[in-house]
Amino acid sequence: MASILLPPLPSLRSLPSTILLTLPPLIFLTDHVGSLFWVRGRSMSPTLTPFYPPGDDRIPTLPARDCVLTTKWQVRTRPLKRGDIVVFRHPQDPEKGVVKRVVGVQGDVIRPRAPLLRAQGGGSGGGDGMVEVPKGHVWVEGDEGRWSLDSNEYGPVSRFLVYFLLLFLRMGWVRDGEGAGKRKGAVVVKAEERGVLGL
Amino acid sequence: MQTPFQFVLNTIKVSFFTHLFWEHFYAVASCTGPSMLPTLNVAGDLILHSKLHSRGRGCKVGDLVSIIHPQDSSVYALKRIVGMPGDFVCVDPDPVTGGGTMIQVPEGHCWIVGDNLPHSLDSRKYGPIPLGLIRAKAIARLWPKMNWLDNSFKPIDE
Repeated sequence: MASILLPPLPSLRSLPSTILLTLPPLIFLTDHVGSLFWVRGRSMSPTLTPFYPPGDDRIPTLPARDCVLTTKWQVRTRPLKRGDIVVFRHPQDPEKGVVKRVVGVQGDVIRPRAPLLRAQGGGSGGGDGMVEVPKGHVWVEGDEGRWSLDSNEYGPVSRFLVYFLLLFLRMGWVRDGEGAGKRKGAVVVKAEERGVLGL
Repeated sequence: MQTPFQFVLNTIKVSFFTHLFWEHFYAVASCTGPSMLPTLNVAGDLILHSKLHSRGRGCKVGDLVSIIHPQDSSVYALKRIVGMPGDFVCVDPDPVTGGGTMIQVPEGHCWIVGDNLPHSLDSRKYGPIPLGLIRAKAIARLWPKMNWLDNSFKPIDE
């Protein structure tokens, strides 16, 4: 029986070169497979980093920052579904990463929360403040409406700014479509109902 | 002499390094389409891309950038930046008078236009492009003629 030639264990002297050698594969993994993220901010409470006001009975036993597992596999090619939680580059600051939930896909007609209604007045695609999500874009919202800067603030987001998809939270795998339509009445007309190619 | 195992391991190491360099530093890619005539030919040009300028870092008006197409992620578009955030651009200048509606480029976006105006689908059709869609800056052409792709914009003297 031939013996297996194992690579030698790294010694202290070769530590810098070991680190240098493990970086490229890790970067490959982050670029093409997925990675772990630490999330902060309260816009996705209680799904992510739940925030309880002082004096609340539900004393959080969870850490202040949630750790999530994300995937990059086919994120740009596979259609995004309502209810997916995604990480994308902020449309006004490409160096910032934002975690939100997809509430509307291309072709949907959305009734935004108050700030956008006020800012846009007539809005596009509707006379009374409704917004139609253009082709190649998605409408994202945080689960905690009042503390979320999302599409209600900056409009639909180009879907190719999305670069990660959440797979696993502390509660378990993100199930398909779970939490879709969290804000009642957000999606006024679904793309399928309009006969427009939605996804 | 390397054992086969060492050979495979070294090949894997080199592949990962090449991938790192290609994705995050510099890459060479070919380019097709008439939208950048006469700067670039219709087909067969090899362009050197700098990934260090992705997401618009260090990019300014006049730079050639490669962007993820806003409606089709399998295609990349190579165009010139005409407006950075805050700039005012003319949406579709009339060829004779040079007039047209002006629009301010929103924060975090850029306005890109191809050099071959009549045959280019760019910001005049798709609107301002988010800087996050820029994946590289085209810095030089390597084939068939080696030359730097300059920023050819010059300020107009009033």
